Amino acid sequence: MNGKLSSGFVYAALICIVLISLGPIFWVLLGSFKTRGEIYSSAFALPSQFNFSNYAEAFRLAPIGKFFVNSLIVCAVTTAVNFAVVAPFAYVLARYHFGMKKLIVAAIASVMLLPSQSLAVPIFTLLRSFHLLDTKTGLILIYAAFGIPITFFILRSFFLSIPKSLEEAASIDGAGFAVTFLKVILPLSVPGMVTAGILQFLSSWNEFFFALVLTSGDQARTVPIALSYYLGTFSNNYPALFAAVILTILPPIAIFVFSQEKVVESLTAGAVKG
Amino acid sequence: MLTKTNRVWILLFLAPCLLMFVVLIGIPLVNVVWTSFADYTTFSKPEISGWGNYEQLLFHDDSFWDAVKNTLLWVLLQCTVGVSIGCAVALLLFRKPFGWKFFRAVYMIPSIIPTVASGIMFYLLLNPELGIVKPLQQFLGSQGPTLNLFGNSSYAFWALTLTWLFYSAISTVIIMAELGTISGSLLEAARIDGASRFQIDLFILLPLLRNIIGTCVILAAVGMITQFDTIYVTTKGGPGSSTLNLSVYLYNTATLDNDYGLTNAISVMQILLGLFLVLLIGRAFKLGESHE
Repeated sequence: MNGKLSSGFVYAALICIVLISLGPIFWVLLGSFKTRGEIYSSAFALPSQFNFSNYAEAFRLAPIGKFFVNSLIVCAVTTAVNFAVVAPFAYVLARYHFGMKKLIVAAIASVMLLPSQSLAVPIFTLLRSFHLLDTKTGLILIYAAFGIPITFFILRSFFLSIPKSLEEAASIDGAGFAVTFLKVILPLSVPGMVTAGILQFLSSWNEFFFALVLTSGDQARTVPIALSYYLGTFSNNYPALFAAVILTILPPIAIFVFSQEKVVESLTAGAVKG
Repeated sequence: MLTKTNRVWILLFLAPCLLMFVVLIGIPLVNVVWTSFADYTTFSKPEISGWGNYEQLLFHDDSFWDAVKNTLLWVLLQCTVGVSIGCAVALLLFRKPFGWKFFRAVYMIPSIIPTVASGIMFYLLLNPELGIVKPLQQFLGSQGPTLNLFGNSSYAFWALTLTWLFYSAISTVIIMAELGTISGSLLEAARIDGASRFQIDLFILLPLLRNIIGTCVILAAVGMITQFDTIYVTTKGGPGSSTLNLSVYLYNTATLDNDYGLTNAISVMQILLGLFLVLLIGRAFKLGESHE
């Protein structure tokens, strides 16, 4: 049989995947430890020694620590707000039937296909009229709103998989509507919420367009904006940019390394449930 | 179960989400459509002016058509080459070679980091002063000045394409999830009949994946229509309009020209283009029958 040949082919292809996927990242990682002279003189050489001066420079040039805190707050609160709003909504739509239900679900599904940038002007003017431009609150509201469809479809399919008999039992025990939801349904839905939460957190962490349009000062800017900040203001300081890129990609990679299966599940669910 | 108190609770459960959805997405959507028919700048209130913005776009604006052309070409490339690569990787990993989970993780990393960061990585990697282009050119014996791939209108489009074409990990994980639901006995039967692994991939697995590949193609199309980050940090749509797409063009029109009416007309065209492509792809893949 041609088993050996084909497994040779498989591994050649896998090595290509590794090179294409990690090559650029590895190159930037090495660059982040090089001196300025080394960066300009030899693109392929290894750094002569690992020095962290580029990282120090990155922190010195821009309030990157502040941007990190902003990003963490925005992502965490976005995820919380998104759940607080969507979970009860998805529960009712999973359990009860009413006239407008099909229309509501269709409207939410179609937003998944809506290019979010197309709403830039009215969202900008809306936030301006509420004095929410350049605030974390403004970003959080927008991210939480655009996160409604994905969280909704993931949580609804999870709620649908929970047997109704549990609620009937709770109701016989005298639990009311809200108590049943909070004490019976939500604790059972933790896996679904983790799936949706990872997706919401990652997409908020990575979001760039609205962060660019809706913020202008250091109070609300998030990490992806910090990167374009280096590019615009310090266009000659490439060494610091190498370090800043690495700092930016570390948190999502860390989440991924520690919960690979969950992230895979999130991405799959987020894409397919709609 | 639908007692009176339950009704109140149901309304309370629905209201916050509906409110958020209507205020932050529904009303802006309506607003985009009506102000696309208005004279409307950063400094003035919208005033209805009919089809003027659309006339301007469709008949007097070469940049708009460049943006449409680039957007469509990128959509086409990502939907065909991009999704094919994602699908090929999925079929490869589905053979469960030793360490497949590791390779899947590696392939996914570029798709979970911020697109701005990967855009800047390629910006550095292809930078004429410090990137890999200079040593490669020297290695190949070229004497001329170093090519500035992002700064040259003949190469910028393809340089950008390279930054995302190979990274279809979302397709890969979706297709792998679907492959996991295909029964092993089907593959076993094919193997007993003497089919090679490649024949199984091509004649048994691929046809079963039609629906899910359709989904991947739609996602790829939507992703390309909304592509903004990488272009913004590398070329900003230039040189000229060689890498302009609709997202970047609407951003430029809003922030540089301050023309909100025209921006919103571009937005409406972007929404319509997205709808059209999704319907087209849905029909091509006969989606919807087994879908919800």
